[in-house]
Amino acid sequence: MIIVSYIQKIGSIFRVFLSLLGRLVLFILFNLKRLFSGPFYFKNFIYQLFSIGFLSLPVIGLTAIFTGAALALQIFSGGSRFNAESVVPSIVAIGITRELGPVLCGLIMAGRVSSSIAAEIGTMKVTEQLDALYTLNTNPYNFLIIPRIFACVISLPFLTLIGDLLGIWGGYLIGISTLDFNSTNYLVNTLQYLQFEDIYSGLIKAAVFGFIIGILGTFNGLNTSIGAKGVGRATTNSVVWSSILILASNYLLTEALFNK
Amino acid sequence: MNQYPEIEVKNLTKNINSKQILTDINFKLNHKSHLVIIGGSGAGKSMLIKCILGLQSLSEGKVYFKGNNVSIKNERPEFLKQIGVCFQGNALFDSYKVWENVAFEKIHTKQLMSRKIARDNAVAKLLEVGLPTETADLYPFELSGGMQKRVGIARAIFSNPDILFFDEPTTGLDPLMSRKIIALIKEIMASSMKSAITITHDINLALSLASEILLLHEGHVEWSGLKTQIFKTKSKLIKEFLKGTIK
Ligand SMILES: Nc1ncnc2c1ncn2[C@@H]1O[C@H](COP(=O)(O)OP(=O)(O)OP(=O)(O)O)[C@@H](O)[C@H]1O
Ligand SMILES: [Mg+2]
Repeated sequence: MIIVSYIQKIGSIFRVFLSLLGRLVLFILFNLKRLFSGPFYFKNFIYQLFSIGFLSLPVIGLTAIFTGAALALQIFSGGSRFNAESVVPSIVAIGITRELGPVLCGLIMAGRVSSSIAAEIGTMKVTEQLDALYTLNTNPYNFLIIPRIFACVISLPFLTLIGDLLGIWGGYLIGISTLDFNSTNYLVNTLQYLQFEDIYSGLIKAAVFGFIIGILGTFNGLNTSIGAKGVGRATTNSVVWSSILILASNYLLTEALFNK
Repeated sequence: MNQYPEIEVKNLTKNINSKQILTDINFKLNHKSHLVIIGGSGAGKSMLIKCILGLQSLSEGKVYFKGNNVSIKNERPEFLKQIGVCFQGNALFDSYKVWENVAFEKIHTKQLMSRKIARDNAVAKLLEVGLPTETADLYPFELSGGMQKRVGIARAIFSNPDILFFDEPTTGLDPLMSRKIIALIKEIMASSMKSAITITHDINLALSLASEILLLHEGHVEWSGLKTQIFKTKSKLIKEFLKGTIK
């Protein structure tokens, strides 16, 4: 009996997940349709690029530096067990560009941006601002949703690239200060084994994460149920769902990009 | 010259999740008339307006604007250009300045109006609704409720629409401010010679604004007619509402 109820539970979770996925796909298709049939509000896009991308630089930068530094320490202590301390620079670089850079950037942006998009659009919905937009002959999808999604997709790779650089720099700082690396050696080692593919595959991931963040933020905002509680729920959902989807798609993308 | 009424609603029915919220609504909004839809809480007034505006899909029935069926999506942009809506909670855009709110449609819909001219026009509209020029560069949250209501009205009348919609225009305002807003709406209606639909639960507001009144009750039209006929009707509900009148 217990087993049956467990299976039922799993089934119902699965069903919720599938219906969410279905609605998300419809939402994406609808956005595509609006993209081609409505105006593109370039000013809104630029403003979103600023508030989503530019204003996230400090938090992305700090995270990257500290992560790079910690990574250097960990790899050093692991590597020293079989006298392979010299791998620190290249492993830090590869670890950050391929994996930690995009994933951390994605998760931080899920918390910072997806939530604020959901809250902003959700509030506009419950205060009838979306209705007002519509009656002023302005389609909310074109005016609010599409610029935000685009800004996310464009911002994330740039932020990740900057995060990559700063992460490597964080490792470098620790490398030359506490781990007794020679500055030139560290840099040469970093560059020697780093391939272009490491960087761009990370940036592709980042763009996909940006898409996830933008879609889930706007989707949850638009589906806010009436009332202040609704906005709170939309915000939480956007963070939770975009984080889960980022981690899941990270695995799938890694498979797709790296198993060649 | 205009054989069609401004708005005609035919057999409008709205169901949500198999619950019937509006049942077979029929009415016309004639030229230069002010229709007030009155009804208690939950009667379906807001839903009716949303169905007319196209913010909610209809389960059945049609809405005509000057003879065109605007329940079809393609006909709607033209319709939306010719209406102004003043929302219950004002629905001002809080990230835009007051004047940008008022001139929103002109700034954002590429109707080739420079920001300078748009701003001048917005300031003129603000003066029309009784707001001083200084308010133009404030943000909506810096204004009191009554002032926000005026901004909402200024935005609704900005592009000189043929039909105005007012959703509960006096809710949340003190009695003095309510009277001022009612006077403002009357003034606008008198000078523009356009038509309007107002929804309210306040019979006094209805009597002072309306040329025609429609009583909505539990999603159906309980009574409708000219304001002058309302005192002669035998409808029990109307009498209930009229009891609330302050003579
Ligand atoms: N999105 C919705 N989903 C389900 N039911 C709804 C929805 N919106 C409104 N309703 C129901 O429709 C009915 C009419 O609601 P409506 O908001 O039109 O009332 P109203 O006449 O404007 O009342 P009030 O004076 O309180 O604003 C209510 O019973 C409400 O519960
Ligand atoms: Mg209402």
